[in-house]
Parts: sequence; C-alpha cells; structure tokens
Amino acid sequence: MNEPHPHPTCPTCRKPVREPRGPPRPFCSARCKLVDLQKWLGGAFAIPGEPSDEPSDEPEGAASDSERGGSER
Amino acid sequence: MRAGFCYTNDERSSAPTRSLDDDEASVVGAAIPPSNNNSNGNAGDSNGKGPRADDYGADAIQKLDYPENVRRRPGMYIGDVDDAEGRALHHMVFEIVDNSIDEALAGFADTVEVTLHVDGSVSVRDNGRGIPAEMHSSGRPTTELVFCELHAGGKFNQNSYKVSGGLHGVGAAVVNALSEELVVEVQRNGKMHRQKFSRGLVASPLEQVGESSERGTAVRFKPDPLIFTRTEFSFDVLSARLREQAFLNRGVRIKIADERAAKEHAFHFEDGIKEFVAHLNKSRAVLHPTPVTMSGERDVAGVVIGVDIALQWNDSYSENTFCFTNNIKNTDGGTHLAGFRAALTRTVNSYIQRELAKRADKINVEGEDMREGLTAVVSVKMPDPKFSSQTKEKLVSNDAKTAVETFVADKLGAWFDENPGEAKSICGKVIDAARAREAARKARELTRRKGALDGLGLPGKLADCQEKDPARSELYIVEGDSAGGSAKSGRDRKCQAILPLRGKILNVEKAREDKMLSSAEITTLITALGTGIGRDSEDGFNAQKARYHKIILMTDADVDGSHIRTLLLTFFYRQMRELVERGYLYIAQPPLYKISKGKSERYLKDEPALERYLVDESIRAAAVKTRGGPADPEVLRAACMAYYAYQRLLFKLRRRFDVHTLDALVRGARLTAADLVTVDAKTIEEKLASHLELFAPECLPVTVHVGEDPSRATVQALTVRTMHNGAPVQTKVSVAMLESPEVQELHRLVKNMDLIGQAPYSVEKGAASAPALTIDDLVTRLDEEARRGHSIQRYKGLGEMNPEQLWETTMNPEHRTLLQVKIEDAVEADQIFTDLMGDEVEPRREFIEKAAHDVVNLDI
Repeated sequence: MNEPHPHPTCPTCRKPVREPRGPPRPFCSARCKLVDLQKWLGGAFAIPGEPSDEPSDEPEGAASDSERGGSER
Repeated sequence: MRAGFCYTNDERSSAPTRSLDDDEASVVGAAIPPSNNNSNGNAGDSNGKGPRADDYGADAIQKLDYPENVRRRPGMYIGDVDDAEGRALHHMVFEIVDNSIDEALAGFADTVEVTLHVDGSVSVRDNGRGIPAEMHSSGRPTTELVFCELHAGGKFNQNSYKVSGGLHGVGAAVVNALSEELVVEVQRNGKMHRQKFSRGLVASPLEQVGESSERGTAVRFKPDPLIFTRTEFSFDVLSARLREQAFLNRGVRIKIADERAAKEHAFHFEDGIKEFVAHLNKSRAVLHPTPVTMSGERDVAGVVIGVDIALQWNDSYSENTFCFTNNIKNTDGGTHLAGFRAALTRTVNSYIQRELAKRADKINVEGEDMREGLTAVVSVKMPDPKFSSQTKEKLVSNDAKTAVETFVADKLGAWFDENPGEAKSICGKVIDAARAREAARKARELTRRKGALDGLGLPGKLADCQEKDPARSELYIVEGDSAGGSAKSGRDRKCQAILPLRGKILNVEKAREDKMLSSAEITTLITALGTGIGRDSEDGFNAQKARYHKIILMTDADVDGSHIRTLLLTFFYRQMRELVERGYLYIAQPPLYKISKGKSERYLKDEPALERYLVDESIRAAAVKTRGGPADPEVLRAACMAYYAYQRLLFKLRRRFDVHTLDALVRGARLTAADLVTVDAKTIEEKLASHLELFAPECLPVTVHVGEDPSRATVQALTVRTMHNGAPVQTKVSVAMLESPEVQELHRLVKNMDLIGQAPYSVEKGAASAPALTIDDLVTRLDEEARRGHSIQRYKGLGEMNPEQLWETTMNPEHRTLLQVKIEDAVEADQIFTDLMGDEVEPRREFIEKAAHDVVNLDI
C-alpha cells in the first residue's frame, strides 16, 4: 500500500511525471507546483468532513452559497 | 545630383505627393518628415540643403531622378541593405510576390511560382491577367510605369484590386531600381511581351517576342551587388514566408524551386489559416482537436472588412498570435489584435466565471491567463489600411478593431456554447494559468518577508524558542488554540517553539463540515519555517534556510486530527518535499488513554496498548481454568491478544462482509480454501448454525447453497444467506475470498486463540469462580476484572491534557516517542488526500456521499 508508484503522476495535471527525481517532484513541472501552491493559498483544498448531525432542511441555494463565500476570506 | 519630385514616406499623408511646378519640385533627396509635409516648398527652402533645380524641365527631372532617389536611399524603401540576414534582399522577392498574390486575391490567378536561379537571380511567375502591355495615356508602355515610376500602379482605386497588401505602388519600381537587371514577361491576349531594365533604367523597349496561349506575368531580377552587401537568397527564408502566404490565401498554389540546390516546395492549403494554426501547433499537445475558425465580413461605417481567424490552445505557456493585414504580417499587431484580444477576454471571461463557481477557490483571471498556450492567426482584409510605419509592423485603422471585436465576440461565444467539453478544458487551463501567476506573486512576497533571525517578521502566533541553531531547534505544530496554549506553557522554551494551527471548518451547504487550512494558516506556517516557498531556488523554497530541524506535527487522535495531519503531510510532501527527505518532519505521539489506579498514573498511546495493559492486569488479578485444567498465564495472554486482534480485523472488514457470517465461517466452520473442492452444504450449514446460535442468534436462520465458481473449474463457491437487522443478507464464499490475506490472518489468530484450551472456562479469583461458556465471555469477564479499581480516561483531544501532562507524555525529549515521517508516509498521505478531495466542489460532494465515511473511520 505504501510503496511508491513506479510511474508517479503529477498531483496537479495527473499526467505521468517524466523525471520523478527532478526538482519539482512530485510534480511534473515548476508550473504545476505553483498551481498546487495557489490551491493551498487560495483555500481550494479541503478534506470532506462527515455529514453534520442537523438534517439539511434548507433548500440548496443562495443562503448556503453566501455562507460559503463568506467563510472564504 | 539631380533634382526630383518630392515624395513622402508617410502613408497617412495624402498619397503620393507629386509636385506641380518646378519650384516645388526642386527639393532633392531628403525625406521630409510628415509634420513638415504640408508645404513642400517651404520645407525644402527651410532645410536648404538641396541644390536648386530651376534649369531642368519637368520631364527630364522625372526620368533622371528615378531610380537615383531609390538607389541613394534604399533603406527608406526596402529596409537595411547591409543587414547580414538579408531582410531587405528577401523583401525584394516579397514585393513582387505580393503583386502576384494580389492578383490571386482578386480572383484572377491561382498559382505563383518562385524560382531561384543559378546566376543569383530570382523569378516570380503568376498565371494572372498579366500587366497591361499597351501604351499608357502618358505615352509610355504600362510596364515602364509600373517598373520605373514610384507611386504608379493599379491599386489606388478599388476597381482593379479590392484589397491589396501593397498600396503605395512603389514595390515593383523599387525592386527594379535595386536590381542589376530585371526582365518582365507578360503573356496576355495571346501574345508574349518582354521588356528589360538595368538598375531601374530601360534597357530595351517593350516588345512582342512571340505568341502565347497562356497568360500571366513573370518577373526575373538579379539584386544589384552595388547596393546589397549580401545578394545570395536563402531558400528557407523565402520558403517559410511563401508557406505563410499559402496559408493566408487558401486555395492558391505557391511553389518555390531552388535551381542552385535542386530543392522544391509546393504549398497549397484548402483550409487556409486553420491549417496554419494546426501547423504551428504540430509539435504541441493541443487542448481541443480542431482549431476554432471564424471567417466572415463586417461592415464598419460603409467599409467592408474581411475577418479570418483561427485559434487553438495548446498545453504550453506562451502565446503565439500572428496578425496580418491584407496578407502583410504585422509583427507589432495593432488594432485588429486589440479587437481580437478584447473580444477573447470578454467571451472567455463569461465562461470562466461559470466554471469558477464550481471551484472551491476564488481567483482573479486576467487577459494574459486566457492567452497562455494560445496559438492564433488573425487576418484582416480591408481597403486602405493605415499602418504606423512604412514597414507595416502595426495596423492603426480603428475600423479594424471594431470589426474584429464584434465579429469574434459573436462567433467565439457561439463556439463555446456548442463545444462545452472543449470550453471546459480551456477554462481549466486558464484557471491554472491564473493560479500559477498568483502563486508566483505570493511566493515572491512570502520569500522576501521571510522571518529574520531577530524575530522580526515572524508570525505573532508563533512562540519561538531561544535557541538560534536550527539543528537544535524544534517546532511543534499544534492543532487548536487551547492545545497550543498548553504546549506553550508546558514546553522547554529553550529549544521548543510552538505554532498553533487551526483547521478551518467549511460548512458545505449545511450538510457537511469540510476541514481545510486557511490561506492565513499556510502563510503563517511558511513564514515560521523560514524556508520561503515556490520554486526550489535561492529566491523560492530553500530547505537550507529551515529554522528548525525537527518539525513535529501534534494533532488530536480523532478524525479531525487525522484530517489536519493528512493536510499538513500532503502540504509538506508537495511544497516542501526536501524537508521530508532530510528527515526533519515528525509526528508526535500523544497518549490516547490515561489510566489511574490509586495514586499511580499511566498513559497509553492507543487501543492495542490499552488491551495489552488490561490483559496483563487481569492475569495478575485472576486465574483461568479450562475444561482441561488451569490455563498457563502466558498462553492466556497470547490468546487474549489474538482475540482482540481478531475482533479488530473483523471490524475493519465490516464493509466487505457480513461480520457475523464471516466469524461463523472462520471460527465455527473453520472453512479454508481446500474445503471448497468437496464441500457438503448440509455440514457447513449445521456448523454455521451452531456457531451463530451461540454468538449471534439474531442472524439465524442460515442456509448454504453450493454453486459453480465461475473463475475456477475444479472448486465450488458457496452462497450463505443469513439475517442482518431483520433483513436477509448474502455472503459469497469463494476460493479468492478464503485465500485473501485478511481471511488467512483471521485463521491464524483463531489458532492462537485455540491454544488456551477447550471451553467451558471459569475465572477464579480467590474463592469466587465465574463461568464463561465461550472465549468471548471469558475475555469480557477478564476485562471487567482488570478494570476494577482503575479509572480509564480516553483523551478526546490534546486540550484535555494540562501543560505538565502534555510535556511529560508528548514533548519531553526524555520520554516522548516521535515518529519520523518517511517519504513513503507522505506519499501515502498524498494518496489519501487525493482520494478524499478534488478542487471541484461537485465531484467531492458525490465522493463524500458514497465513500467518505469508510476512509474516515479506517484508522480508529
């Protein structure tokens, strides 16, 4: 389970990494590394949590959107 | 020096300026700047250099002046003649070729042939109408007007040529003036005519040299070595430009032959600039298979402008846009490029906003992001285009902007609507371009303000240590502010720094709480570490600048804690990988249990440690008897531990199998793969039933069916039906299942449990004896026995420990256990992370609804 992939893929673009030992590893390129960095800095990465206890009785829509937007920054 | 007429190099001024009287015509040589051009006479007087020319008559002046004016200042007409690359030299050919192309554009020619001859001359031949070979009203043959007079030609009105690249009518005459020899042959009306020139002067009159059934114009010339430093034509330079012309003029056949080297290229593109773009992208991976093409006309204030555009995105990071006006390349773009970019930005942006709404992060997309990896050809055809200079590098006609912008906005929008798949991948690329740009900016910023050793610039949340030597400094990254507080009070402030980090909770549509690290937390972390971020370099990420050589992740032993840990491990692995490779990264091992008995306290790190402790305690407190007599304490310990391990493994398998059925198969029927060769349903059924009767009667009744194993011929497969929560469940039993490592392990553990001896058992303590019918009962009794007199506290979080406890159990270098993170651990975290999330909200939501619960609970 924890043996490294023989053909690693770039975490950003999902293409095979040609030079797995190159400096941008585990990425295929410095550019893909930057894209990943922006996702960290921009809050794009979140691990899905468990469904919360309260049932979702509100219809999906504007209210939840604004809440999500508000928590961004 | 001869006097001549004035001319201008500025196209915007009112066309060719021909002097009307001798006085004004007497200015020689110097080009008059456009601003001085309103009054030719005054300008000439004021500059005062040229000799007066009153002695000469107008006709004489004209003849004598051309070609001298061109030959004396060739750079004004054709560019630098001393250029080592021979740009001006090749431009000579293009001037003539452009005339042939114009003829093709007008619909009268479809073939242009360029031939490089061994004597250093070049000929250009087309199958157009042929230059009129009659006498002009001026009394000279038209060929002489075309080749010996500047600003003579058929393109000043739009009758003969609707649009054309050359407009100022100097091309052919300039080429003639700068050629040692030039021969023009015209085939027209069944006759062939020829005229020769030398250095711009008539060498032989226009004469009919024969009959011809063909038509067209052929011009052969030899550049004058007195003018050009270099006179040798490059096949490749000419070929590249001619191919470009063939792309721009779909359907026109353009050939180039090199008689010096027996080389030949033929270009013919029915799809025009669409093929051009495909050609430019041929060594690139493209984002969408076929280029987008837009072709049509726009009427701007009565002027009809033809717009022909092809574009395609590839996976590179640079823009490659070529602009043309009437087939002339505009290397500096101009109004058509501006119109194209404006429409592109507007159109793509409206799609990007839609696409961004699906992403978790917000990013500002700029025009340059949309043009990353874009290959485009923008070609406009319009009457009377205006350029910023003679060399036509930049188009300045405003009508072109209007035409291109409105046209592209319509067509590109429609294309995006009709090709949602392609639109999506283009948007993905654009968003990534914006991200990379933004990240590079932030990385520079972060790296510049990295923490100084005096503590200036370090984040306020960081409680730094006194030690300045990184090799002796530790940073604890602590989950949560309250645990951070305890850690700050409990630490050894000499060499231990504390950085509290909080996972941010995102309420996703109120249905779920996502965990993330906010931008501020990540920034704080980078600043505290002092390594900078971004590319591996001095001004980016640099592991040598790490301020601590032990970076210790201390998170709660719950689901949230494991999420934060996964996030951090993934971040380190991806963005600061060298720290992991250097072995700087560690995971703290806070205890999960605190056990108190009387005054003694004990901390246990996890579930198995607790089980081991309780088993030891119970064996010390009580004896066990089996049917065969007293059990050996060591055997008893091994059997109990095997029992716990067995139960834990069963629990892990609960998603794949009905646990009670699996337990009955392993412990009750002792079913192995070998049994499947000759199996009797009745026997198995009875064994399962009697086991379930004892351990899980709610699962009864049980039935067993023997069937074929589709994957193996010699063995059978079983279908076991039992009840689960009042509903029937089926368990498929195959060789593959019984041979799986997990089931093998269950069998191994059962053997260890068997060592204890046969039931019934009894637990003896002093005079008291408690019976136990099964090993389950026995372990339960022993557990109860062990817990007596103990208080067991399960820590739900680090915050439940006071500073002293935290120090003693987790931070004190004398007693603590640290797990060093190996690169494989980080790879695994990255994998879990990747599985758990994507950067699009929708797939992640689907994922959680399906499977998240599984993964989340795995490590408990």
